[in-house]
Amino acid sequence: MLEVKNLTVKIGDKMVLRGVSLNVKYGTIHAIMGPNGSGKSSLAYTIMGREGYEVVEGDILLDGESILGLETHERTLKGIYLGMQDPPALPGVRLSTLILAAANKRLGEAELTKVKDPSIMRNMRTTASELGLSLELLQRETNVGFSGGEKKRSELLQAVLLKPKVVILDEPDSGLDVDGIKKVAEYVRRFREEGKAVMLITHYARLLKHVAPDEVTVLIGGEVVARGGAELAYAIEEKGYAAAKEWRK
Amino acid sequence: MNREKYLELSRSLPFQHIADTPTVKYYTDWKAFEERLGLPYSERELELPHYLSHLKAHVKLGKGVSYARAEGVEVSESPKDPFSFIQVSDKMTAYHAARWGAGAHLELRGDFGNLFILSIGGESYMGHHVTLRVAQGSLGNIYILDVLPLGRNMKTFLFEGVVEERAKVGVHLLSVHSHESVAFTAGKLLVHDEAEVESRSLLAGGKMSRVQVDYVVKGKEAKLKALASSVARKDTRADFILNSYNVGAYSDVAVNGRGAALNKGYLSFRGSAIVEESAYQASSEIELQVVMIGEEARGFAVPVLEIHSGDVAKGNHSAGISHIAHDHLFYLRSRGLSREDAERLMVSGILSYSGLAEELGIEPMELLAEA
Repeated sequence: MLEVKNLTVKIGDKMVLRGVSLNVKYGTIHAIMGPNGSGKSSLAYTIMGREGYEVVEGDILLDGESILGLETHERTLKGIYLGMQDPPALPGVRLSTLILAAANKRLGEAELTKVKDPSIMRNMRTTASELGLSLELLQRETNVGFSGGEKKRSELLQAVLLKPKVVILDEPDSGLDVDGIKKVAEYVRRFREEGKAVMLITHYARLLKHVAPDEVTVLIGGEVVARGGAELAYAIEEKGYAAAKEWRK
Repeated sequence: MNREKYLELSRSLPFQHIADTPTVKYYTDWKAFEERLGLPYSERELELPHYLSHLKAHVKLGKGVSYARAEGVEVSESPKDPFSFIQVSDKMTAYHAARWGAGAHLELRGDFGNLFILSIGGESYMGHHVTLRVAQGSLGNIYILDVLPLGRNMKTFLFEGVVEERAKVGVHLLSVHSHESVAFTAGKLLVHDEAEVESRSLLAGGKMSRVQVDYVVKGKEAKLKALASSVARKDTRADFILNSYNVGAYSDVAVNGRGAALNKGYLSFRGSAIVEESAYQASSEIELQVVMIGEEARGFAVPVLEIHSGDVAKGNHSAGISHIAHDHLFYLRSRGLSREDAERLMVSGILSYSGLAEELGIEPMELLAEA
């Protein structure tokens, strides 16, 4: 289980999270909702140990152990994966090479870009195809010239192939058409069925309609303003974030 | 013109003319060349670095010329009509014309397979000159290995030639120059009707490496596709220029390059894509991206598109220059890679971009070691 305990975080002088507590249990989907600037992405970045996000108070635990002292890559190797909202372009680094390097790192291989386990390449092709990504895209530079939908699918592809215990997906549905949203939802449900802990960050409930989250937490101004089940998400979809303020924590 | 005349010219000509670059800026550190113009001619060539030793050259230019028989390849031990395509209009070309020591002319016909040409430098100065003609309808790959392995040496290497009608060839250039060396490499190829040239190049520069290749896509429906990788290693400077000239109607040119400047390295990656008035319905695109990695690295990407034709099918140019940003690092580290892994992956990716390292069976990161 991923536990966020009374987390207060600042970037420079600006407080971005204030006393946030929540748990993401294995085999469940925990949706984090909130309007723009509410601290959703800041929460994800803090969990991943991004530089500049200073934890003022509180703790983050994975399976009962604090990860605050770990660097980003160490947290990842412990089993946390973040699928980003807008991943950066990496000139020169093919998507297939990035995935291979990340997979090799998990296997403890010294040579990151050598194919030691052919099943990695096989799975990459199969999963890409299932996600509607062309094999040609795997050979392209990561996120260079990718459409919005291709970026989302690429992030999801990596979530599948890197086999994390905790999957954090930051706005995996933004900019997707209906079919794209259904595809993302299918994979999110699959992660839950596989026993992963899923933290799903989203503005809207439209994705949540397809995945039925087990828990929903709403952030506004860096604070938790409401907690509930899927019905909270649907209330927000109907009445906007005003509904969250009337909801009991 | 005899050698004495060229030597005189080398004294009077400037290193570059103001109008010969997209901007008036001097991207090449000519002083590094000036300091070594008086070096004696080498008595022997150096050994190939270990990571290139598996490559067997059909034509080797060192102190002299040696070659092996190859199907479809005819070799003469002196260039044919040198400086027919490359004009002697600057100091370094004139210096090369005055002093080059070994050269060859290659006639390539039919399906000539993979041809390896090695220009390897020596202690002090060495200069090589190659002319070539790829006959009509020929098929094959020409791999040019431009190597200066060690020390404070200098090399000049020029190649020029023609790709005749309907030939389909790869013309690939690997330039590896040692950290302390200076190197001046220039090439110019004319591409005739319906001929297709695919070019992969990779430059790992030395103290100062100036590498320029000009493709004159002269023929109707002629094509050029060029992919290039370049890296300026720690404390080195590289100026890599890929120019293209669409002359023929319906000619099609695409140039894409990726470069990295490492700690205290300096890389300029330039190219002019010029579409001449005669190039009716031609296409040309040039895209160059440079990433600066590490402290005090400097990088420039200067792609220029000039269209003189009133009717073109396509014309694009774009550039990207960036420091390896926190965003890049965080993203890669969120994939489980340490900072060192992440930087290595970026550099390795840029070196691999052109595909030449892989084709030649070279581990790209080996190129970062002293050649």
